[in-house]
Amino acid sequence: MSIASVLDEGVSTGPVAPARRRRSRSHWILVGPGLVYLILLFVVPVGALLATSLYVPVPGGDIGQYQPALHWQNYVHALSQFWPVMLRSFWFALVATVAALVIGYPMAYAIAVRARGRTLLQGMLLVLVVAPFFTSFILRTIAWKQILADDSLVVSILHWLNLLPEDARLTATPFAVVCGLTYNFLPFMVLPIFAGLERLDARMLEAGADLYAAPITTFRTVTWPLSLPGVVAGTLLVFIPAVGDYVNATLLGNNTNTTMIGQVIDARFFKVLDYPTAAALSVVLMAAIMLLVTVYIRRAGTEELL
Amino acid sequence: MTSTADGATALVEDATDTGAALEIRRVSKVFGDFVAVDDLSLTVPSGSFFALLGPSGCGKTTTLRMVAGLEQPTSGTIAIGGRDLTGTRAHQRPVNTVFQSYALFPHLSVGENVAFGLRRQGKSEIARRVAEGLDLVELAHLADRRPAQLSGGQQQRVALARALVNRPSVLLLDEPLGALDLKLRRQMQLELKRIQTEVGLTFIHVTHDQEEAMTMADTVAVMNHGRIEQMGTPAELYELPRTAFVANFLGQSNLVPGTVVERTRTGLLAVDVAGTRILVPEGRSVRSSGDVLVGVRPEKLRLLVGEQEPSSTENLLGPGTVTDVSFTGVSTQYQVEVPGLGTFGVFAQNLLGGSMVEPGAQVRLAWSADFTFALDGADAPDEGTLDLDDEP
Amino acid sequence: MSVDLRTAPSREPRPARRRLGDAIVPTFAALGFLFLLVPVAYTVVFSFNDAGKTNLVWRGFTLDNWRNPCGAPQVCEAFGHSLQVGLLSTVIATALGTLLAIGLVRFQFRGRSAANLLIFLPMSTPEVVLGAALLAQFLSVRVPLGFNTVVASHVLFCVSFVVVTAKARVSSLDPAIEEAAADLYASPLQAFWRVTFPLLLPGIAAAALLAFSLSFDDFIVTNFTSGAYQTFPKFVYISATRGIPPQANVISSFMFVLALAIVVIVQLLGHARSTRLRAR
Repeated sequence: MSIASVLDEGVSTGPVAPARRRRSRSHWILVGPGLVYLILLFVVPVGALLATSLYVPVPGGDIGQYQPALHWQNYVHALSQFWPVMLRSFWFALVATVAALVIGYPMAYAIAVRARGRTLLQGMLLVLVVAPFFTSFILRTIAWKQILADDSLVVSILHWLNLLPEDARLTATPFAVVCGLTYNFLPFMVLPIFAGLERLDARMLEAGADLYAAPITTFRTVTWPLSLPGVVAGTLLVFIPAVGDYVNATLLGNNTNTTMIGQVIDARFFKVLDYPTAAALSVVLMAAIMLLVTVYIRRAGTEELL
Repeated sequence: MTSTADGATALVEDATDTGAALEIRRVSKVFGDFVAVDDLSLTVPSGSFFALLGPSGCGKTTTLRMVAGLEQPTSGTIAIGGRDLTGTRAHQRPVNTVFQSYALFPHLSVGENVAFGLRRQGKSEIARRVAEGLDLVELAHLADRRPAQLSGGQQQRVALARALVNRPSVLLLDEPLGALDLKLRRQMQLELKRIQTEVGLTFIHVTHDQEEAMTMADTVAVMNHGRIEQMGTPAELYELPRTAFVANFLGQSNLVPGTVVERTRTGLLAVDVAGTRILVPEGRSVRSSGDVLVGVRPEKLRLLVGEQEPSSTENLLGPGTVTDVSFTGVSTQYQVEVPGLGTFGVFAQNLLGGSMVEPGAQVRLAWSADFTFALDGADAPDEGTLDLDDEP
Repeated sequence: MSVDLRTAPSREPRPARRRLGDAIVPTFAALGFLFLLVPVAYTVVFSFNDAGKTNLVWRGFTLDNWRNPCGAPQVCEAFGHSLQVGLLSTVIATALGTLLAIGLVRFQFRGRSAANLLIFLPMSTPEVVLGAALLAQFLSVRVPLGFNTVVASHVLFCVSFVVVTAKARVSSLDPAIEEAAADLYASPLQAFWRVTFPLLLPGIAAAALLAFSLSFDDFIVTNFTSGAYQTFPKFVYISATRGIPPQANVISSFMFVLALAIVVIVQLLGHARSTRLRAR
């Protein structure tokens, strides 16, 4: 006999309670404050920036006095004057990103794969990657300036080895600026690649080694594709701040062929008090980066990063 | 939905005898446009070991989660111990769950895991209760370990103890043995049964493993597409399935289409199966006229070789050709291809040792009319058969 | 046979080649670490320079700078400001970001992808644009620039990084564990504090550490939004033109050693615990 039973559909069970549907709103408690913050301090300011980029000077007013307008010619003016600087910024950032990838990937690989299992060593190496964050990056950049200075040991050795022509120098060159950019954002390259490689199953590498034998083939067919999301994240985390950076260009550059767009925006804002041009350049910079990032993420097939 | 004729009366009796631990009334759960549970009603009496059995996606886990309070029904009510708990939340219900992944708190020791529910309820003598709970699952010596330091079977027992110490009105088990290997699973099945008898709590066990459900449960409800197909004791379900799904999902069945042609005076239905007259007891048929599916379990079939004749109370089909013979030790399984009807499975006990026939042999199939059952002819004959892509 | 003859010798040098290959990666990695750490070493060494006012050339070893780290005007004031800004921004950004991460991982809701985009955007905006936008906004609503505007700006660029860091931890957490807490009579608040929070703690700590380091070392956004308020990086940048006092190196070196010590101690404790657990 059955000790429990299904009620037939025909058997009436009396009035059935209406559907109690409690629409959960608890997620707004969690995400609400953060989103409101981001709207108030990101969306609204970017709006203010857009508005400022269209302002015109107050007729007969002082320098630095502007009034609301829709003067889109500000953009034409700003770009026609500063497009070479804009282009140079993207070029420097690109070179620095590639350099950081070339230097950072072996570091991440060594920490994640070669030091796998040796937790203490792995931890120490990670600390060394992160620790420079705690020394002022401006001080470290100035340290580079000293290390590469004309009368420094490095330059003397290079001269002595004839690797550097007698009249050539390292500081105040595009090379120095790109070096500085590479150096300053290197940890942002190492950490995401490390995170990606760490998740990589060691057995997968062994299987790859088993199937392909040649380590370079294993790397090309197994390791690299699996670490790609980390590489994409790392390159973005280096490229984006590098484009807008002006500390390296100011401290390590000269003022002729190393000027970056960040320097221009900063100067327009604080020295020339030309807010509309500074804002217009900022908007163009932001838009250009958005475009590049979107195309890049699509091409790399890592949309989930968004 | 199918319900046996005696089911409704049994419900009334049980409700008065022992009091229902759990009563689900006309519950539906809809996710977007997917109906996970479809107008389900179910009563589980106090102290029983009840199994919800069905393939993945049949709505059994959703039903369990609604009982636990982790999901709210779209419509209908859920009462425990006579109290309507619809709309209350998980922490307000006298129900505890053994999760499929065990969901042990990794930052707490085994003892602290077991004490968690007691502390939240502000119970006294927590240390003694925890010790008792761990004794019950024979893990008292591991109270200070972290869950990560235990084996899968040990973790499973901690999860059980953590739920049991609260002495819930209903204990829910969500595929609790799914992650264990076969041998350990057999052992835990017996142990769960022992513990249930010992503590006398109501257990509701969700599983897709028919053997597990049949071994442990007093009552099994077979679910499919958000509804209960059939409910009863394991033996009832096996011997007298009422739908093609149940016939195939619980064990194996040979199902062939036929048409009822006559009701005999002895309470038998005569069914025409591809020109052969097959007798089915009227009480074992879902319908008494029209198209039916005639069914018989493989172990009830007998192979007739050469001039062997069936007895007078037996049905007979064939001849057919033996296409496959596999020896499994206890029994031998034959596949017999009968022209116009398809392939029949036959399990024969190895009473005499060795197999009786070779592949290619011509045989006829005989079985007692009493073991024949008949289902609605509209059912798909292969519904509920094991699909290798489906099962985890 | 001929095949054997050809493959047999080529098999021999393989181990040697592999040993060489094995050395390439660590060598490159070591050079990378050298590149990363030489300026740090330089900074530390020059904190012991008997420099006087400008710390450009080595003039001899002294401990005076370490004995009197506040010796140069404004150094310690700027350092204090940076600590205050860093701590407050970290607390706010970590709280907001952790809640965001939990909400985004655990709930499917309309506007979720828009929310994800909103979190991603500040990370993909260069600091100079963030700074300019915030300054334009602060100017237009006439908020006086200072401590408050700096903290508000730092929280903004830290939040996104906290969300990304914390999200990884939240999504590695089995949702059944929180359900188990609810099932065992824990109210939503108890479930959060007794189960979710302790399990998220390593992720939250990592996120907070990242937020603090970003805030503490930020110059560009700070420069736009601080007015006359001076943080440590701003102090260093401004004094770069007339010469940075060695006390700045002392403070930087101190922070470096402190961070190193904290992480090493945490590492050692974790290592000791895991060996102890394995021993049992």
